[in-house]
Amino acid sequence: MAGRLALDGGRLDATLGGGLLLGACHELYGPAATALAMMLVLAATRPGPILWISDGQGEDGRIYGAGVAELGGDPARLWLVAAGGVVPMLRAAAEAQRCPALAAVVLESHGEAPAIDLTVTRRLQMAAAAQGVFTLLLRGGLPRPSAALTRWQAQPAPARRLVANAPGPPRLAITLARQRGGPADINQLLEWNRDRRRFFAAGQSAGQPVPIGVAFARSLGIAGAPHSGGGAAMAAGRTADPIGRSAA
Amino acid sequence: MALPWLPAERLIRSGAAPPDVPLALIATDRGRQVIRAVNAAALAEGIGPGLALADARARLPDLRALPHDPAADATCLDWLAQGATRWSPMVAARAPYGLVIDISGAAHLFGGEASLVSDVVTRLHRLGFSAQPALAATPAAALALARFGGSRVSELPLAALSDAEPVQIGLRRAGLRSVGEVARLPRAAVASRFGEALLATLDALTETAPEPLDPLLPPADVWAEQRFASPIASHDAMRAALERLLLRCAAQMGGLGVGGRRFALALYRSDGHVARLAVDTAEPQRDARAVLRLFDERIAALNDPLDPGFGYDLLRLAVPVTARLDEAQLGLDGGALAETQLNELIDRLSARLGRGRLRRLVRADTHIPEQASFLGALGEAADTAWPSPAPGEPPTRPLRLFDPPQPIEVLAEVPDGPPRRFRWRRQVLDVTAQEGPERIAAEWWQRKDGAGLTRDYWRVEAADGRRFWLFRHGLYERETASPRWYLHGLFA
Repeated sequence: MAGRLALDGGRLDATLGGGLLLGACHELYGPAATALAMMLVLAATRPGPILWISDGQGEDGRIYGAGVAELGGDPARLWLVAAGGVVPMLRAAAEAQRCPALAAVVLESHGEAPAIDLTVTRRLQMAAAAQGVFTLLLRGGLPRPSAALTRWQAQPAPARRLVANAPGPPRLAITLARQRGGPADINQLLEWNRDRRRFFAAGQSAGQPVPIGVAFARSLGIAGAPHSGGGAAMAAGRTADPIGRSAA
Repeated sequence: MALPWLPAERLIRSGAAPPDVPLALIATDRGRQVIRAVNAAALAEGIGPGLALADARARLPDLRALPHDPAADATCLDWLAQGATRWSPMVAARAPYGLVIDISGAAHLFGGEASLVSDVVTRLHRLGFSAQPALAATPAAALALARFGGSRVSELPLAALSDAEPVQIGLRRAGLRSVGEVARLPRAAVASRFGEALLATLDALTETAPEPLDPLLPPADVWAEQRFASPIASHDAMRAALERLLLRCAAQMGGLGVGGRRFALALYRSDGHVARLAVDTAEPQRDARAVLRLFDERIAALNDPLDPGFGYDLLRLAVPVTARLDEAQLGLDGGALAETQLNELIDRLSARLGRGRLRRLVRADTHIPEQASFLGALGEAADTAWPSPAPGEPPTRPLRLFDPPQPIEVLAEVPDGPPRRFRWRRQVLDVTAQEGPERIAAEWWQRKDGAGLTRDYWRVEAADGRRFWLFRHGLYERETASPRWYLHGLFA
């Protein structure tokens, strides 16, 4: 039902077992979390509106329509819900996750938000998996225990230089900090291509995506890499082998 | 229904005055304290409205006096009218102290007119209000009969025709004693002698031209109600009753080929209080279960939860707003199914959070950045399309915008050159790459003073990779000697 979203066409996708699973809940931390969330949702190319639920006003301004359009999205698809608190936000998300006609549900929390605990994230993850609704949870503060499928850190990174020392397309330094039942601690520098609405691993020419064969060979190349121990206990009974899944 | 003692009884009910003691409500009129309303005990002592308080005190030294509050009386009357909708949906409050209930078609539900009237009087008495009931063919006649007593309109005194003293005197001088005698006169003569207004009142009293009732609630074509011999207080019982009412309304709407856009539930508590809840739907709806879920959301989101008190003895569901809903629309396939699911989601979220909290980004036709994108209501048609950016170019507008822009300190090599270094949130950031300026002029044609400073926008990247949208406010030397800098947005 729910597919996977290729990110860098290489090592990162292999670690994720063929890309980011769409029918799941993913946690995003870091100063570029908003940008990463917006780009992931646009890259997922699922039809329907994006429900962006916020628990309140952050200190980083409001989402700007023209900026969404500049990333390649249609601002009219973005439905903004000002829930006015963490608990109303979670209730609204629970409603939204029952609606498979949505392209994605994004929860934007500000600050530590201790109410979003293990139980809450498990509920979000289970609902996302049951209905195949792509769910992203933006979090502030330090990482907290969570049952989300993956956890990411997103930082802005210096962009390519264009003529006259102008900054080029947005680049993000992202870290897969945690993956349930899989390896983690992988860094990748991604460049956003607005016209094709997808990421490319920075350093490659943005116009030329990595051929599938190369990506697959790279995934074989790291097949023997040791897994991080973090998710091993949860992985019982599940394969965490990137080859097995990307080949399937 | 006349409530002659309403002002006094309202105060007695609220505990501001003891019962059975002569009480007068006073207002200051041209420096004099004049009695505006009294209770029955005061009237029995010969003290009535219009008397000066000083004169009244001379007759009855221990007369209690409290200020008269017509606004509170009107609120109280409205509250009573709300409660009176239990007998019939057609209820109107008539200032100052009258209630009109249209019982045509409702009396049989209470075992006839007489038992309905006694039910009304008993319930009002339990609330502490003495009501004088009267039944008549027109609202004005019923009110007049309730106020002046009697059983026939033609026997009503002249005061029922006009409150103005000169008119009453004029009628009396003409040898008239009752409404019936005035009604027998030629209409043209009455109009030329006493004015059209008197004739209009006369017509409203007799059945010549009954004035329309202006009901408290707009009448609904589709409604259903359920009465309980013993009041229900539990949430489950209430929910089950609501579901039955929804099913009955759904059946009525199915017969009419319509769906409801608004569902209004009234819960009548046995002590006279009425709680009202309403849900709105984005599309016409007659699926009882879907609407029940909306009510669940609504009840869960209530700030002060429903207090059943001693229980509800009547639930009424009305569908005041309906729209066509054909069977064909109910047969759903792919696209229509997604549409329906999304509409239901909007309904549930707005029932829970309030419709104002669901927004979308709307583009305005202006080049002032902070006005170009604003929040519009969800569900409205898109108006202005967003421009598509030029292929191959990096984003020129930030993903997040500060409104208002945040003032920053900037170091530039030359006053009209690009920024080199700036301080934001107690952090000094070195600019490593920049693009600009993009010049955005103030909309001088929109401003009365014709002025407004030009902004020079720069897209800059700091050493740590963060990208910012800065602008210099005012052109150096041409518009201002020391332009200020602002940070307006954050790029990805």
